Amino acid sequence: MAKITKVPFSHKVAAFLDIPLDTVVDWPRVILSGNQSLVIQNHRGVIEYDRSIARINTKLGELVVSGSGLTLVSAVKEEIVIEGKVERVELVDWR
Amino acid sequence: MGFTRLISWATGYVEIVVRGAHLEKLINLLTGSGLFVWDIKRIGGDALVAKIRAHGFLRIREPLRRSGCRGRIRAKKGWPFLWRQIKRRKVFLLGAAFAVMLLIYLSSFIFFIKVEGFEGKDREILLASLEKRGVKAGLLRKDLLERKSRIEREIMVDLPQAVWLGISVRGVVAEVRVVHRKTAPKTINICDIVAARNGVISKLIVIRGTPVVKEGETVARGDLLISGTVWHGDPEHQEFSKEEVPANGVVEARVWYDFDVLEPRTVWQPVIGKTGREEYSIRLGKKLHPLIGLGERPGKNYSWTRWHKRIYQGRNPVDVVEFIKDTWREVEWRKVTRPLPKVKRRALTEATERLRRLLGKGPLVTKALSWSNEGDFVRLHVTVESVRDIGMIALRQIPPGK
Repeated sequence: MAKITKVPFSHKVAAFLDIPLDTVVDWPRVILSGNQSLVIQNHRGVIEYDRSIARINTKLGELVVSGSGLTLVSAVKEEIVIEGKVERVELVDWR
Repeated sequence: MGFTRLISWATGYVEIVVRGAHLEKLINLLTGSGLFVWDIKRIGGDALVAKIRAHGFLRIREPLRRSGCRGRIRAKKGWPFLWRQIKRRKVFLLGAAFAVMLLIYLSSFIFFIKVEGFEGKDREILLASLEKRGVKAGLLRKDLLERKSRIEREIMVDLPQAVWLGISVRGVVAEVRVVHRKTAPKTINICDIVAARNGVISKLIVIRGTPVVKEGETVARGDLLISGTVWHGDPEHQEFSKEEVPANGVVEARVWYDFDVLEPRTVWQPVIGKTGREEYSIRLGKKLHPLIGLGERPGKNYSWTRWHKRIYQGRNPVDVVEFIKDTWREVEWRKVTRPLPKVKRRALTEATERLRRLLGKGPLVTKALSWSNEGDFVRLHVTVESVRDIGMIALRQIPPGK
């Protein structure tokens, strides 16, 4: 029997009122500026950090940033800023 | 980000080196506890460098213990640490304060004088004039600003070639802006004074030039009165030199005018009747709205008069609303023979008007009137004598290049 996915009520309200979903739900937001800077909002912590890889946990899954010379320029509760030469961004096990 | 860093510098921050197996756990614990950590760099397999605010460093002991890491301060940066260092170096602090004070003190002097508008010799004269009044390198700014307007006025007297001069102070530079006087090229207008009409010279005043006529002489229109050629000479040595000048002077003469005024006895006169039409209308802005019309408009000959009444204007634009009454009346033209005294009166009025226009402000010396009848017309002959300035400028043709 096929699983019926239930759409959350907040999503329905946002769709009805034409409000962008990301303002209503706390989904992770990723902003990549060129290949130099990556901003991750609404994260759930750092799983692994090295100069060549940074694995960031989010509500929906794991975000893997690969590159070289990676630095966590800013790390606060809501936002992580990674700078360096970003070569790959992967979404692993996302719902 | 820049502003946050600036605040961190102002409050002081430390660069820490952390070693341990679970560095990511430490990062999560630090961010989770609300601490601001930045510039996190991995420097080895089990070590990283990070920056944290000075007051936040006191709170990292617990996260370090929980993550099993060890941390130590690598460098202390920011204003509080810098100030602590400076405080220890008293002489350096004194030197810096002295340098700032010296800078403030020196900025109260004028070191340079910039001149705009004058070049070469004029510039040197101006600089000398400024120096004479104490405006030179080393003068106090305050002193110059107090005496500025007086110095400007005095230098203007010294420099007739300047039409305007202004001194302004910008930092340690006194800017002197000056505008050079431009003189119009000298014009050579050699001219004579000639007679504008016939007359008898009654007064001759020569301002410049050589008189050619004398008082009491009769001159005709176009005669030379004052010549623009002046001879300078030494009769003893028989040496003469000629100079051409623009002649000038006053030449008054008794002059005569005569003219005729012809006045008809029989004239056509309009007689306005009582029949016609009246129209009332109102004008709003540029549009005319008819209200009511009474009677018939006359066919051929008629007179038309308009009466209008503007309402109180107040703040309204000009001529916004007005009431208008137009009247058309029948006109009949009749031939009327006027009585002789009335005709003469009319002729005299006309003659007086023409005399007023002819003489202007000139005096009326004598007047002679003679009447004659010519058929249906009355002729008035007027002869008047007046005193007028009959001098008229006659420019000489100057060959080009002279």
